Amino acid sequence: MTHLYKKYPVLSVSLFVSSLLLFNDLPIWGFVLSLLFWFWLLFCFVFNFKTPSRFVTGLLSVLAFIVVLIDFGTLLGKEPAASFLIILTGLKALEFSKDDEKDFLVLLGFFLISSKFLFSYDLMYLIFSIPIYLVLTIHLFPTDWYKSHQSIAHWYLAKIILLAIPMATFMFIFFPRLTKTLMEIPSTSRLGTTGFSDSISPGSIAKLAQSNELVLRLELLTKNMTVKDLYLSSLILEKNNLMTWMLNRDSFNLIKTTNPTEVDYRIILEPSYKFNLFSLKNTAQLFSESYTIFKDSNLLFRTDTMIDKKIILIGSLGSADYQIDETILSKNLEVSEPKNNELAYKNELFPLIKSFKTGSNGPEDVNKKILDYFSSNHFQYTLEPGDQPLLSLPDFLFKFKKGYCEHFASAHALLLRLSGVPARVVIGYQGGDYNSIGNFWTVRQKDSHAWVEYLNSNKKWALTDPVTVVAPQRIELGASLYSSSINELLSTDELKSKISNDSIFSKLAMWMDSINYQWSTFLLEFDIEKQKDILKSLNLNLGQGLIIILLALFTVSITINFFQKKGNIHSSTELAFYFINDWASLHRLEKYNSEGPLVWKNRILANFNSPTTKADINQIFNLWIEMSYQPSSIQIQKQTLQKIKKRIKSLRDAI
Amino acid sequence: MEKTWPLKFLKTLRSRFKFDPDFKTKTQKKPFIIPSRFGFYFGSGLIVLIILAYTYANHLIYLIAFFYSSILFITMHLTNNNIKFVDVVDMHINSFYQDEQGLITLTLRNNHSKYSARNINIAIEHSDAYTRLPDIEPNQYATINIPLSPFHRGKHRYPKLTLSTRFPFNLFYSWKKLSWPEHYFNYPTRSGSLELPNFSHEGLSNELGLPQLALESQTDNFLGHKEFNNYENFKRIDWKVFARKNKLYVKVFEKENPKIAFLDLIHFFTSYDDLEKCLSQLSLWSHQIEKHNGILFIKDTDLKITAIQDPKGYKKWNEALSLTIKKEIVL
Repeated sequence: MTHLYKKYPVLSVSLFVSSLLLFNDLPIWGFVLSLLFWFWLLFCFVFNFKTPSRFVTGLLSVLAFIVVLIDFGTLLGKEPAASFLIILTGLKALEFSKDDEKDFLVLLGFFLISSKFLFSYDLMYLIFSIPIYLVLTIHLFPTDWYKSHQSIAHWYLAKIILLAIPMATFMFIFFPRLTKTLMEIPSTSRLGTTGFSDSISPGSIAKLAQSNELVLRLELLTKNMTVKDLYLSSLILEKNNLMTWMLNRDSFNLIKTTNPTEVDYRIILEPSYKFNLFSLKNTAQLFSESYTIFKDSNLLFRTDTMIDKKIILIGSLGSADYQIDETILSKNLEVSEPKNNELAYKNELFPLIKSFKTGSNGPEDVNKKILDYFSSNHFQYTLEPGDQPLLSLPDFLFKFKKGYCEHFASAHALLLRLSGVPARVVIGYQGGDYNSIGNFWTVRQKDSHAWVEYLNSNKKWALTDPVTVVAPQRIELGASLYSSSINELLSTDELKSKISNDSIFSKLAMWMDSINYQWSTFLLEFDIEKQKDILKSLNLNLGQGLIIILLALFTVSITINFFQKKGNIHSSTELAFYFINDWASLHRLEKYNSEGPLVWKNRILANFNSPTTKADINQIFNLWIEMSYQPSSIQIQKQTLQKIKKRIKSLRDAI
Repeated sequence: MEKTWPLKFLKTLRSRFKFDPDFKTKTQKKPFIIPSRFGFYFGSGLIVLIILAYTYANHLIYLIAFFYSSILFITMHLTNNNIKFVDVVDMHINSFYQDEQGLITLTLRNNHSKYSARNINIAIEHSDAYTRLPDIEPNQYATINIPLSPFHRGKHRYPKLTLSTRFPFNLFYSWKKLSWPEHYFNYPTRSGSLELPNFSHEGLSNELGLPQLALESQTDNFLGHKEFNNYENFKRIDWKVFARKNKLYVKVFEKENPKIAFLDLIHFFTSYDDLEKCLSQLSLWSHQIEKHNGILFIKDTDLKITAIQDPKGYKKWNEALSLTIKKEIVL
């Protein structure tokens, strides 16, 4: 029995690494099960145990199939399919016993490594997977041949790849590709565990901010922004219960967005497995080729299907064109009061509210007083406030006095509402890491933030952020630098160095991120519309593009055959001499390069005693000399060749 | 002048379809190609990838699928061209006995000017086994010997050969068939008694008109007795044993150097019911004599006596044995 680790160690490692790459994208049980089979195989290899029979592995495959069906409810969709594939690869590796099965394993490997790109466009993954693709392709060569011709095989493969790259590029440019989904495959992902839900409670955003997961990349095309101005809104929460804020579903009044004529910014959004999108303040239109986007009454954007793939969004800024009516006003003044905390309200909170209201000239004034209150009463901004879903406003204001952004945003909005100013909590992302090389912002989950909007004296929703007064560095530096400065206790110089991003590693990281961004943008942008544009510039349509592809393939095919050059046409003389030498080699006689034909003949003759054999050899050589040195027609040469062949045949028969 | 080119064209056309007896091979000039089983799976996998790319509007998967489609396309040409320029320039099969294995000696040439022909398999008609050729460098020859299993006795055409390749990636199967319009013989199986039939030198010398001494050059060691057969010379009967046992026996001698044997085919055929056994015995004896460079005198069914003493003679005799369908051989 052939053991996979022993016979194909590099292939085994490649398949194993391909499985590892899917760690982030699949349910943990599928991944663990696959690892289990790989370790089972390793165990059998190390301790020289017998690998399980095909019956056992077949049974395990059926069980895996059933488990996938039970867990996902379907086999359609990338997660269940990839989960089944990863288990199947482990099982196939475990049952490997014959060389013939190698090709099938390689095929599974191709699928496995390619399925990673259903979950991520990341260039780093692609770069990492290139050696795996190469190893898999090399294993397609016949094993015995490859072992004795390694350098030739590598050179051969390099040539094939060099030929395939321009062909693939040509097909990529011209082959018509749909961007809308061909069929609706149920999205079964349970992976969108990070990101915002429809409500926040004290501590929930702080938890989200622990993650370094990439959310989006933002490119500002018409105006520059500093980190402190960069607020990307996702949801507006208008209903509260204590300090927990929820989405008010009544406020939806969805209008389908259109492709803006002028683009102010572009967002590359990672799959969020949510419906809500992210937009800058005062975004008039947000559009995507891949999804239908709707704008709600709060000027926020959402899709009708879950975002399960990387998309590109283009946005245009404009003026706020919303209507503020009495219903909205009353809705944004409601405060859900707790029954068990009346004393605290009466004794501490109401006097405070009264102080905000007294002598105030409009909502801006009230807002300023609240901000001043936060800044002058030793409120503490903490990255780890803990989970406090039942925290009440008086407890926060007068007892704990510390919290994360959602604590302050929630308290701020409640104080505004109690002071008679309509207010609401907005959640989204604030700041991000600016890439000066690629001129884009990278926003991660750690940049998640909550802030407040209140209705100003012009009856417009104005942004206010209490964190600007309790922890101004969080807003000015961004979450990354702020947490570094807190956790690593950076000195001023170190902080300056971090802000300037001038270290080699920072530059390198920025370069890599920039290339990755360009790569993602290129892939996402090169859709059917772009193809249409290219073809249009060539006065062609999609159908004609397809015909061009087919014609090009046909032309390449003809060209390859055309350049296959036939070698020297072998003459009868050459062939006859080859036959003589070949016959002599049967008697272990080999012609020396320096040897002339007559010397060669004499050497052959010296090895035979039989007069008939000697006569035959003499005759063969005479014929050969005749055909070589006497001018004769091709036909006569062919006849002489036949005579020589007959003589050689009779010599052979005589052996 | 005007008439020259149409005439030339017609001449070329005629020569194209002219039967040429010197044209030995019926080699398929251009190979056929189909996807191999693995190639079929691989192609199906690519279709699945393209469907996934459509379904998830994933341009990266498109790119990967296009890349591997290109590799598939290039590989198809490589596999085809790997065999396209390989020609069989000579094929030879020595006639052989049914109880031994034959050998096909094949000379191939790679006619490509640049690329080696790699990993080419040769399959023989009526056999599942295949032989793998060594790599043939551009413009070079290769000679290989392929074992050939015995067939029924008789004259056989050279078996059809199939040159095939799946190189480089086992994604396509390309092949061309070759038939070689020549024949070989499968001689009858050599079996039966090793002891050669005794004969009277006197009688033979009389029949041939030769002095007896010219034939008596063998020294015999007595081995024992065996039952008398009709075709044997009655002079060899040991009458003393007959007197004792009342059955005809002849003396058996070990021929140290059996240079001469005489076979009277009419007598010989009458002592055997089964033609195959009879031919096998003749085959064995003639082989024994040939091995020792001996002379075999055969009195055929036309009562003509022929002396067989050189390889050509033995070849003719063996061929006659191979083709015998009734108890009748005329040399």
